[in-house]
Formats: sequence, C-alpha cells, structure tokens
Amino acid sequence: MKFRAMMQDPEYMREFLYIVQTLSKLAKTCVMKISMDKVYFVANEESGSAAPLVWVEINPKLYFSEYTMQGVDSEHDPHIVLSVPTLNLGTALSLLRNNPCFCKLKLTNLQFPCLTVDIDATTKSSSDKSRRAMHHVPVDVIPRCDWPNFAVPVVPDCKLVLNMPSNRLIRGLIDKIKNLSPTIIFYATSSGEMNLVAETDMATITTRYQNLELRAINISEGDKDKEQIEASCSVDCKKTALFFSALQVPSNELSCGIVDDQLIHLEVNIRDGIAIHSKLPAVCV
Amino acid sequence: MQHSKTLYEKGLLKNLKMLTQRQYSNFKFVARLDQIKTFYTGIKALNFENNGKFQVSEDGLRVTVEEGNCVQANLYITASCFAEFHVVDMVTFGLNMNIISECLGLFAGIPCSLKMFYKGDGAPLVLVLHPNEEADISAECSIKTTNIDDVIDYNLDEESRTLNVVFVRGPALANIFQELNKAADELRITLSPRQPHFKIETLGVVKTETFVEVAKTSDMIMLFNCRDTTSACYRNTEMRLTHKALAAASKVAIKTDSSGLLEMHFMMQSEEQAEVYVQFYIMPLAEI
Repeated sequence: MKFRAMMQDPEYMREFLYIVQTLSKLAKTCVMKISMDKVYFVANEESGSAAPLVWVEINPKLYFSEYTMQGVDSEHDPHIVLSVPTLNLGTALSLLRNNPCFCKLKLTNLQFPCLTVDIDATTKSSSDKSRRAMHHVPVDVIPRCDWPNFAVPVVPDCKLVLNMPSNRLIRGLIDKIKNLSPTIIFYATSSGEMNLVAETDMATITTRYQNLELRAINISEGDKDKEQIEASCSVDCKKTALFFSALQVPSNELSCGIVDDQLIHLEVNIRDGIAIHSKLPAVCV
Repeated sequence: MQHSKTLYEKGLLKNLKMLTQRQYSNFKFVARLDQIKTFYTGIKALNFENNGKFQVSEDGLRVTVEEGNCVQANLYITASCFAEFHVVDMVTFGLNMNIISECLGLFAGIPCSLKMFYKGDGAPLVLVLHPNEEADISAECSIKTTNIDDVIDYNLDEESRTLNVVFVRGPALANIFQELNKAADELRITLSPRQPHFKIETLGVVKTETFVEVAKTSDMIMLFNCRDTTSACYRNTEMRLTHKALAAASKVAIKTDSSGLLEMHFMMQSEEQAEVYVQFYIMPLAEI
C-alpha cells in the first residue's frame, strides 16, 4: 500500500484546507477512499445526528502536482480506504493558510498507520530560513472485507438540475427559515425557476429564484407532452442549514438536483476536478 | 401573492387562509419601504417578547411590545418614511415578533425593499421582499395575525415641575452601559441640576456597587434640562431590554419625573431625514 501526493499551488492548498475544515464541521471522522483516478472524502455521521451526508470528489491528476498510489492488490481497481479524524487533519493542515511552498501527503507506517502531512512553511515572499512542519495523523486502514460498507455514494439521476445563485444568499435564507419551520420544500421547473417553500400554522414563506440555468433534465415517458417539467421534494430544514453553514469554501457554483419526493442533491463545484456533494433525503410533511 | 397562489394550485401550499387574493385597492393597509434596514433594526430591538401589537394610522406605524406591566416598548415610523403608505381608518393587529423578525432577515445583510399588505381582520400580514440588486430573487411571507387588546398608555406630565429631560449621544451611552456590572440586580438613575448631574449606579447581590457620573458639560450630553433632583431604581433585567435599541441609536432622550417612570427615546440611524424611533417606558421599583 502506498500513497503520496503533493500540492504546490497556494490556491489549491488553501482550498484543500477549507475542504477538510468543511468536513470537520460535519463529522468527527471521514472515510478517505484513494484510487488511481479519484480521491474521495465521505462524511457520514452516524444516524441520529442532524448532519447531512456529504462527500468530496477530487480528481488527483488535475489537483495534485505529483500523485502516486498503489492499492491493495486487486488488479482492476486498486484502492486504499482509510478512516481519518477530520479535526486532526484540519489542524495538521492549518499552515496551508500561510502560502507555503508545498504540501506533501503520505501514508506512512510508524507504530500505526498515519497520514503524514509535510509542509514547507517558508513563505514564497519572505526570505527567512526554511521552516518545515510535519504532522502524523493516525488513521485506521479499513480492511478489504469491510469495503462494501464504505462505498462512495452515487450521484443520483435527478429529474431536474438547476444552477443556484451565490451561496451567501441561500445560506442566510435557510438559516432563518430553519427557525420557523422544520421542513422546507424545494420546487423547481424546467423554465429555470426554483422555489423554496416553508409552511407552518403561523406563517407561510415562499422564496422564488428566476432565470436559473438549467443544467440537466430527465424527462420520463409520462411527462413528454408537458410544456413544463416540474420537480419537488421536501427536506429537513436543519440538515440543509447545516450543509450550508459547514461550507467553508468560497463557492461560485452551486447546483441543486431534485428527484421527486425522494431526495435533493446539492453539488458545489469548486473548480475542474473537485466538487462537494450532498444528498438530502425527503421527509414527509 | 400571485406567486404563492400558483404554488397553492400545485398543492405545495396547503393553507389557503394564508393567501390573499383580492385586488390591491381592497387592502386596508399597504406600505412600501425602499430600504428595509432601519425597520428591521427597530423590529429586532423589540423582539424580546412574542406578542407585537401593530397600530397603523395616517400618521404612520406604531409597533408595541409589553413585558408584564413594567416595560413597554414602541417603534414609531412616520408615514413619510414610507415610499408608499395607504391605510383605511385605523388598523390594528397582533403579530408574533419573532416570526416577523426572521422574515425580515431572510436576505440577511443585503439591501432589500419591502412591501406590506393587510386585508383586514383575520387576514394575514403579507410581506414581499426584493433584494435591490438581484432582480431574479424575491420572497413572500404571510404571517398569521391576531386580534389585540388595547395598549396601555404611559405618559409623563409635560407640565410637571419635576420633569427632567436629557439628550445623550447614543454610542457614548452604549459604552457606559457596557462598563456597568451586568450581573447587578438593580440600577439607579439620578438626574439633578446640581452635581452629580447624571449618575447611573448598579447595586449587586453582595452589595457590590459601581457608578458612573456624567457632568452636564460633557461632550456626550447634547441637551440637559433638569429642574429638580429625581432618582429611582429600575430592575437591571428590564433596563437590558433596551440594549439592542441603544446599540442602533444615534441619539437617546431620557425623561423622568418625581414618579420615577422612565421614558427613553432611541433615534435610529437613518440616512434620510425620516423619523424612526424606539421608545421605552420602564416602571421604577418601589422604594422601601
């Protein structure tokens, strides 16, 4: 088993830190799944908590300047699956904020398996002496027989996917609505309209976004003749709010997909080859 | 409510009572604000009790919140503050302050315009929010209203020989209250034509005392008009209800007389000349 990755672009490194910080707000430990063409982080706090299921998808070839891995000896699809404490990893990476020269991630075996974070903290601008920080974050290697339990969630086939406006507006909005109503309905149409609806005995609140970009549409047989395709789903407001408040990344592009009465899929595209996903299950009103 | 009506037809909204469908001209109360900010600050300053009483007349809007029979807070917005203001006779209704406060804050921190509609007894108050810079986004809230009892009228006798009036700069007074002992039970305010001109004392549980004296020549005093010495104690928890209003105030008027009833006016910062202020009446503690 072998894993090494290196980052050199300061912007990428800062983003990586923000992503780990986002995960640490959602779960104590996350599952890191490393393969040749993808690195995944999955935060799935045990049932009962309000945290939503969130996973991060990284294309290592685009993201890391150097990347080597050797998975467990399966020829077709070599993998490494680790369980990583998010808070510790976040602390280890905190130096990435200061524009270091590089950051290396390595899977090492001291007395126990560790994810070693090696950061050269010499800032590019100043000429002071080299300062290097190395953190060993203890991780658990998940054996192959348990892999089926740690499968990466699949991006669902949504009936409608719309690109939503800036995160800042919607985060504040859902944060307020969660104080008034336990559930919120997402209702989208193929003409680029998204409605967020909350209804209680005391108040009815509807928020409308118009002229959104339609990213994908799946028309079923029954809907073929309809002028306008619609989809709606009611989800837990606290869970949704938690996803938005955990996001530490300055996101420009947020897309929201709806499967009628089943789930909502939120996707934040940070840049090519790196995205944060979340699935929110439907709840009955 | 055009937009919510379509949602009702789709079955996404279920409570028809919360939708208003009549024409504009039938509304008993319609108002439009180009900037929601000052109104929102005012509503937040009053959000210490759930029952808000709204009274609308041709002069403007008055929102009243009472805690027990000891504290009354009023938010006044004159009709001239509104870009559009239309009311039939006198309209009164009750609202949950927490809900209206959350609704007004939906687009937190972003400049918004607001329209309010009210059709009459039993109908909801409808708020329509539009962020100024985002044409494609809007929110409609309809909030259940209730009937209200009459509001107690507190009054200080303007003719009284002992009426003392002081105008203070808001930020300076806010600083003073920050420095006072927050755990104190009681707070004594003394106004006097002689020294100390303006004194705030706190009395704690274990007889700890702190006090601040402000001379009438101080920069923070804008007007000092005291005829006789007045001094009264107030419960600190009640005084602290004013803090949100105080934090947003540019100017504070403090009035009291020998009865000890304390009246405070908080002028809200507003770019225009518009008159928005929050007024508090606080009953004194009985002297033993």
